[in-house]
Amino acid sequence: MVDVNGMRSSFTQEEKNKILQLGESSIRSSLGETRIFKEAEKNTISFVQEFYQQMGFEKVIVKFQTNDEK
Amino acid sequence: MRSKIRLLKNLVVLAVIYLAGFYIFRACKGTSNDPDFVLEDTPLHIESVRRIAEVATMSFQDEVVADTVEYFKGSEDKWIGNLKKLSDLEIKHFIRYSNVKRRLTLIVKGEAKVGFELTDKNYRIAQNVDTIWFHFPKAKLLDVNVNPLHTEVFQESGIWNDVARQKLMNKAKTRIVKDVNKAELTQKAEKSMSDLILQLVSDERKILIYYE
Repeated sequence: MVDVNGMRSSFTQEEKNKILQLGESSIRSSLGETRIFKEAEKNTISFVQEFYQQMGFEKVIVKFQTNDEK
Repeated sequence: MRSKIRLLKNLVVLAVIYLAGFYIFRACKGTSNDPDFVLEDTPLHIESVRRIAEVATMSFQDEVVADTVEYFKGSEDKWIGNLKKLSDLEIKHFIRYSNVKRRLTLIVKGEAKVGFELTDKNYRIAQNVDTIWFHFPKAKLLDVNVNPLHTEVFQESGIWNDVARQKLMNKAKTRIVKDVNKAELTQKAEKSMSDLILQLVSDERKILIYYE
């Protein structure tokens, strides 16, 4: 990041931090567009199934609840 | 006597002109608190996705102040440096005479997660008719998150580059790790894991949990 205009040659660290904050917020809000939550649920199911199968359970059914259902 | 009064008047006029110019310039330039930054829509590019199997049973929120300061070397350097501060049109220095050449202070709020990394099937469950044994690895620090959203530039005077800010962020991270170690969170995480297992396993049998 360099020249802004004739009077100001560079951003301050405070300004850069604000830009980074916008970037971080943008990534957080875009996470839904990726398949990451579905992948996380899939991995959780496989972990929980393996955990209970080690305890001797043959069939393990995993259901996810929304916050409203709790 | 007259010439002294005239000199004084001139100095006062010069000071008034300087201050007026300073405030007009500052008003035109705006301050860094102006919320005038907008991020344009850009596609999200995912660098990598890593599969993990971590169970975090303790979260530790911490706030640390990371500061770096540079002083003038000697009185001559101090005089020249302070005069340079006055001539700085970008107003990155506080307009006052001091020993401080430049300073950057960040307030960083971070979160540490302590728990278990259960990849590579590194836990075992054994059982017989009256007992279930759980063998887990020892709890450890899984992650320390420090990010821009929870970072505030508290004080900034002088010119600083990104490397300096990043170094301060790393310093803050190291401080949070030290605080985690002081708080002895691994024992608490193991206790919390044991409670979780007792909740997950509703069984009449005796349950024994080991961390090794």
